[in-house]
Amino acid sequence: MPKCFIDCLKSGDFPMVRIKSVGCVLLALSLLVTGCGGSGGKDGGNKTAEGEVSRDTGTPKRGGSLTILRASDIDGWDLDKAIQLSTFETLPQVMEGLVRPGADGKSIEPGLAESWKLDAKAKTITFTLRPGLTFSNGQPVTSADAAFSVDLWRKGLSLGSLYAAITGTATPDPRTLVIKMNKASTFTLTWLSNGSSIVVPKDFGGMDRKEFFTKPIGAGPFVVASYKPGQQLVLDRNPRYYDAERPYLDRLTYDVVTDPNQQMLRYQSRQADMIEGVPLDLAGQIPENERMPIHPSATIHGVFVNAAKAPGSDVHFRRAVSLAIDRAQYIQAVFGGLAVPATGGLPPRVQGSVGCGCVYDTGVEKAKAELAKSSYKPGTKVELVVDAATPFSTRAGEVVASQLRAIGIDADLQKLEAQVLVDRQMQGNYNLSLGEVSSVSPTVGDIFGLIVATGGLYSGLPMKTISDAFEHLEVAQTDDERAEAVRVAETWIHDNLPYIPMAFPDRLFAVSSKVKGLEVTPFLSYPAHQLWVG
Amino acid sequence: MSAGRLHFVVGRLAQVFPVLAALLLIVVLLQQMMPGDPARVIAGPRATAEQVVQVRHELGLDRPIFEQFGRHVSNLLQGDLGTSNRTGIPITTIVGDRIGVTVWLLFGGLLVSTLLAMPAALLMALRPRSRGARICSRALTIIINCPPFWVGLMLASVLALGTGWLPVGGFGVDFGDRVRSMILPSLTIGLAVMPLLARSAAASLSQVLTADHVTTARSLGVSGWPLVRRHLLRNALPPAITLLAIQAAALLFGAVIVEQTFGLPGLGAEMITAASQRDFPVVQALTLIFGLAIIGINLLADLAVALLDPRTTWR
Repeated sequence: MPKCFIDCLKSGDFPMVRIKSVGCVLLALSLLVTGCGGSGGKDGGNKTAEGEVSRDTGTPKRGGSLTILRASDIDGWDLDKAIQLSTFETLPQVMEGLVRPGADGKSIEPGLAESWKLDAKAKTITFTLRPGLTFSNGQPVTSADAAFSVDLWRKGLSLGSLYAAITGTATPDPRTLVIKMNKASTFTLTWLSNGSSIVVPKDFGGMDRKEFFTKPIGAGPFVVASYKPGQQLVLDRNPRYYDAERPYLDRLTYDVVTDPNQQMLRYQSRQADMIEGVPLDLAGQIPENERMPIHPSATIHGVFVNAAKAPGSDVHFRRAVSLAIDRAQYIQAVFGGLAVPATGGLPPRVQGSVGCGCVYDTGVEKAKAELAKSSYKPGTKVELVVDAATPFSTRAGEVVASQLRAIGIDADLQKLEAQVLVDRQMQGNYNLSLGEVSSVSPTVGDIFGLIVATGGLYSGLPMKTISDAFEHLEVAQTDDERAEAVRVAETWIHDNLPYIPMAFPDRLFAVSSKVKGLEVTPFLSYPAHQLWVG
Repeated sequence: MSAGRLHFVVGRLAQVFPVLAALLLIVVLLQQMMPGDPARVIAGPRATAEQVVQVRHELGLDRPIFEQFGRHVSNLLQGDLGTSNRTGIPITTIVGDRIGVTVWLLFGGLLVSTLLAMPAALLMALRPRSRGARICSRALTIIINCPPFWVGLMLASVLALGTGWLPVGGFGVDFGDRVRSMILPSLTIGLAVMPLLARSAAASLSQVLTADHVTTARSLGVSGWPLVRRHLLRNALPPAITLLAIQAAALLFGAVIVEQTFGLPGLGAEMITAASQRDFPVVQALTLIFGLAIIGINLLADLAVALLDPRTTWR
């Protein structure tokens, strides 16, 4: 499931799923607005195989503590409130799930479950829990706890639809959990590695839900030492974690600092050891050897189109907009070159990211010709709404508006407060808006699901093709089948442009030499239990 | 206390109630007026319209405005500020966690602004044609034109990052850390309000200087500090207190910016976060607290003036 980043609002931080472009907020945000841009630099981290970026080698050492800055706090501990990327990243540190994402961004690895088996015929996934698992309070972790957790996931108001294939569970013994599905959903297995599929004690250990998620207990590598919402989260090593070696750190502190300049000052003064998401504008302030770019991230940056009303309802108009945007110029102006032109409408570098071989062409004359075929009447104002909170998003809006005006579209750039923007988008009270969506799991399916759930990112176009493709993707048993389902969707997006993909932006972590063992996935997840102090 | 002053005190106290009622009404209306649907935010982007309606119902946002107002007032009377929509944490806990930072900042700012403004005011009033007064006046013009966030950033970059003597941000853990961490924010906020305070106090002092009682005192040989203390400051104090109350309100809103700039976990920073996340219960509670603080400060200032100035009467 996607996340948007409105945030980057100010930061670009983990960029949270801010639709706001990227500070905070909200889900809805999730769709909205933009990313963070600017100028920046080159690689600082070491790229491994295909995908993940890792920092460092060497023999891990036990002990010590690290302080990490993030621009937005978690959405709380309740899994169904997860919106910001920081939440998906943090919840499993305390409440680990059955599986977790591999650092390559595509695979899944054992979590509390040491193994699993997908039975396509029986439409079941059978998980075997590790032996001797306990929650941080000493209570044993059993399949009953896992089954209770699965039920929580399914009933989630916000994310429950992504578990729609699950019909029930069985617990033949304390270490075996069988998840029953109405189809052999490979997507479900991969999706279970996202940060909100966490395991909690059955019946919340006797507490009510609200009370439990105020002081959560899990079987993850850390326990909550203290949490001041909006300020600071301090995690201490869980001495009962199943891996006796890990986590290496005794303490991990997340400081929430919304102001990017303050973030930079704290990092430069070594009050902090790492920044989860540096606004690309400020990349130049980070020493080159301390930059860890995620290039590109599993994020789609583009123009969202209201296709429910004119002129966006005319596909020729949408194509004209797409042709008008010089992606290379846009990326240079907005992201300082720290992005790649979008080659599809679904996020790159996760399971199922295959594109369609389609080309998002550019050209003023072609755009003008396409515009001439549309019902657009010259002089008609076209509202382009952007998040006003960050220089990045407003700059992006100015660039797009300028390129649209160059082909004769009278773009009316409106810089709005993030929530106003979200409201207008949801009410269909806009023509064009700038926004981003990002994956939060190692599968393209979560964005797929979001597109379906939101009617093509609020475009208003019928999503039958995408919905059908998603169904095929869900049950794809091979990479080829998965690729075929994605190609169908990508081709439909290219041909119909419910939104106009423009770039796959980078994300940037600032990482001091003190931080070792960091591996970041394309969707910005990193296993904190691997971190150690150098 | 004379009947006139007593009348003033009673009248001023009575005036608080309608202001308070208006404040409460505004607080409740706030969520109706602010754009952004908190139910949608809580439900998430995937939620159906029915689910959003359900959340709105659970939050009580679908009730008539007067019912919401009545419930709000009733809860407040029981000391219940509600709970955060986002985290589920009682707002009293959130306020308790953060109010200390804001109070530190306000007192620090008041202290800095007063300590800087008073000497400047005395210099400009007593030696208006001196070089020092001219420099002071120009410096105030420059300072008043510097936005607080920029001043804060410069102070943090030059004094903290450049020297390592002070933290660039945060609130610290122990008392010593906290004192150190509040120096730059206090200086920032103090500098923001100091120019107005200094100029106003200088004008007030200049006026008193020409008063008959001062001329008389001078003719009797009173001069120097005794003249300033007994005849100038005492008479210039009431308008200065009134201005200080106004400045306190400005400080309160300045705190919002300074807390952001220095990453201080105070009420101002929480207000910004809550507003951006449409956490209306928190926004309402903080608006109420800020409003009450301003009402309270102004009330205290008026009562202090009444105490200091026997001519005060209720008109």
